Amino acid sequence: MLGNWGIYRVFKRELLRLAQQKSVRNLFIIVPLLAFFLLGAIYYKGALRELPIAVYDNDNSTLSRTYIRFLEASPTFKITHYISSDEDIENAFVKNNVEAVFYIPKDFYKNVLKKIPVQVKIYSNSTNIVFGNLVYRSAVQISQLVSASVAIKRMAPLGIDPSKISGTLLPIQVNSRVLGNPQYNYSYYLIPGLSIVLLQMIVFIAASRAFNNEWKNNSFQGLVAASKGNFLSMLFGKYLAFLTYGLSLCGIVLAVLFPVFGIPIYGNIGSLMTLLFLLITVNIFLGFGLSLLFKNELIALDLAIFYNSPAFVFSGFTFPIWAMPWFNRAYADIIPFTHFLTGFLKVYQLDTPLHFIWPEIGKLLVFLLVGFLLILGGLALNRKLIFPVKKMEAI
Amino acid sequence: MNLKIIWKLIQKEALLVLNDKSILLVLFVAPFLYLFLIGTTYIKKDEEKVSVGVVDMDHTKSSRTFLNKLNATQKVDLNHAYYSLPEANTGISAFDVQGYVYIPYGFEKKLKRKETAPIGLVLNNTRFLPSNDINKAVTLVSLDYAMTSREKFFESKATLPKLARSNADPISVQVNSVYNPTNNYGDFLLPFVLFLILHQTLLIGLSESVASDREKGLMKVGFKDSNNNFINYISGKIGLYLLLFLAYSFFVLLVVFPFFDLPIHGNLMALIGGSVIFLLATTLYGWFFASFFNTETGAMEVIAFTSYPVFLITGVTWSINEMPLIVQFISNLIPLRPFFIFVKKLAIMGVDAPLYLNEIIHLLILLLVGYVAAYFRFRYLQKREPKLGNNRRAPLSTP
Repeated sequence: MLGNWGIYRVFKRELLRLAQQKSVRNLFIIVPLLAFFLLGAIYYKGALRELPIAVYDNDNSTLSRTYIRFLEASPTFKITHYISSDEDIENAFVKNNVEAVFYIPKDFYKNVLKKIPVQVKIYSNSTNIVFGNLVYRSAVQISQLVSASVAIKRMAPLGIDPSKISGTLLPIQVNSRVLGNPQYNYSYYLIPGLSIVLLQMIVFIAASRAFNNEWKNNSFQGLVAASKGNFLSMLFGKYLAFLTYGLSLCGIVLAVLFPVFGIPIYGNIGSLMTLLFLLITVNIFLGFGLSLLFKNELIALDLAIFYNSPAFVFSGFTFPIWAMPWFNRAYADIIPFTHFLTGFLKVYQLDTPLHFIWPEIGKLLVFLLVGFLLILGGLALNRKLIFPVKKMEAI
Repeated sequence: MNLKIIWKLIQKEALLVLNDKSILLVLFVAPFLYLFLIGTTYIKKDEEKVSVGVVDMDHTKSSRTFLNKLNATQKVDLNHAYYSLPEANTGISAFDVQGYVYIPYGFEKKLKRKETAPIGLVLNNTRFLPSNDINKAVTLVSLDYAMTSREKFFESKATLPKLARSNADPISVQVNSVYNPTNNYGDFLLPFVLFLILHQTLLIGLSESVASDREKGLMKVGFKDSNNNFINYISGKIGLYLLLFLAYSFFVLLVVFPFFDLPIHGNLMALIGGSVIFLLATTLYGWFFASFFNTETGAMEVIAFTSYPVFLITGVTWSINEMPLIVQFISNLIPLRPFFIFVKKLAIMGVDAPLYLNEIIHLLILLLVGYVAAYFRFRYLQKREPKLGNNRRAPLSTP
């Protein structure tokens, strides 16, 4: 019964056609397996711990050793080198590969006893700001702790109401609550976004060859026959086949990649699947639009790659969109992944209800409309190629 | 090695590029487009004025003073006022704000009574950069309060103001961000991303050309035109790309770096020398890998997906030591890794030659590996590709 339905015949034909194509095997099996698992492996440790640091203790006193013990106790740092000269400080980053150098000045303890202010100097290697930020945060924490304990000792003899000590030392206590990845785990942070940006690129690039590849291989007549010349059957039959492949990739990401690397899936799975389904659909139709507009599949492929490659950078995932100039913000807006990502983070990380992602769903639907407009453009431009039967009848 | 043959092969390659719109786009449009698009993305170098909400239940002078101090910091913009916690949580869920500060009732009273006044900071940590910046700003403002409070205590005990200040913070800390004084995102990422753009466009363009030769059966023609000499063949095939991307490297170092205010602290000639070795190694690797593809589309599709993994595996954004050994091993086989370390040491850190010698040696070893791999692949393909008969296709140079 299904065999009489044009869409089903095209769907079945397309599934087989795609399965036989080496490029589709590369895109849907080899590339994801290699790329997804490589990404997972890169960030498998999740959080940065035990950054190598060097300490230059120019005082060698009880207090300086106490300070060093605080550094040793911190999960952020691992003292890998002790240095003993100013010259060593300069070379420590390059020669010893440390991320920070802690310099405790001479007479550190004596000056504290004499109530002369002292300063611990920290040199952080900010060629990588991920390390730089971590060093800053932990160094300030540790130094404040040591400083506060010295301050208490100075306050006590002057006479202070015990109930007011903490209020005097730390009048404002900041109680932080972190929503979405409270573990600060880079694996949870980056892998979902990176794997989905690759997934959408794969779908878009494969779809951008859906029609022009048939023209190139002279197999379009087979498509016309399967659809009985009905363009909507061609379009939606192919769409269903690409959707099947796309959703299978989603399955690999959610059911294999995430569990293997211990990445939890927060949020409502229904909302998540709605967003993923929409992203894949939008990319398929945009890809189809390119494929119908450009007879030369290499040019369509070029455009698909040019358009999609910077999607991650422009999505605002690692560097916020509001910090970009207007032109780049505009470019970010014309990439569906940007809007998908906002919705995805809301659902996946913050577990927000569905109504919070309506704006993103709305924007993705606009892209769907653009996809259909491109398809109409392709129909107008290449109608002789798309409807060859009519032409033959006319002859 | 025959220079005349090499020159002819370079001319032939130029014709192939000119006749292939796709390669033309990749080689002459994509690098400029990406250098502009990606480069300008980070032109402000860092984010400012991150959107933060406020739930002020205290509504006192003290709470307003605290909030004003916070708003005066560079990274925070208090632009949403909420009247309840659920409303503020909705603001976070809708991504209107990246976090909010909650000041409970009794904040001022506690401050005046010298009790610790707790405040709440709720952060949207789905993106690390804004979350870190808000956290840092709030922490610094609260520490500022701590110093003032301690100072006032000592002053109240008849301590001289100068002494009171030193007593308040007996052990201060000075964090010097070396090599990137403002610890900004642009200076951290941009130098490497610019070279990644060149790396990827070079690989895609070259791969398309090599795969196109195989697709059209012109590989054997190229071998024959080079007199079956590997040096002639490979120099003719990759020479054009090498020269073109060397010119792009000059452009990046001499124009793009100054335009984006990126530092070159080390010797420019050494940087160019290192770039030559890197480009040579990359083109040899590129030819070797591309020779496994039978179609231009196949080569393009696969190489296009290497951008993110290749960049991340180099250790620019994430410590290489935190990666599994197998990944570290693969990373060390890619010329981009030693080249990035070389750029970091020479351009950003400005170190002397002995300190980047290891990277140059690493690059030279990879150049040798690329050369040997390409040589054996050439010999293999020479034997395997079908022999030319009378119906051989004409080389592109033949009209």
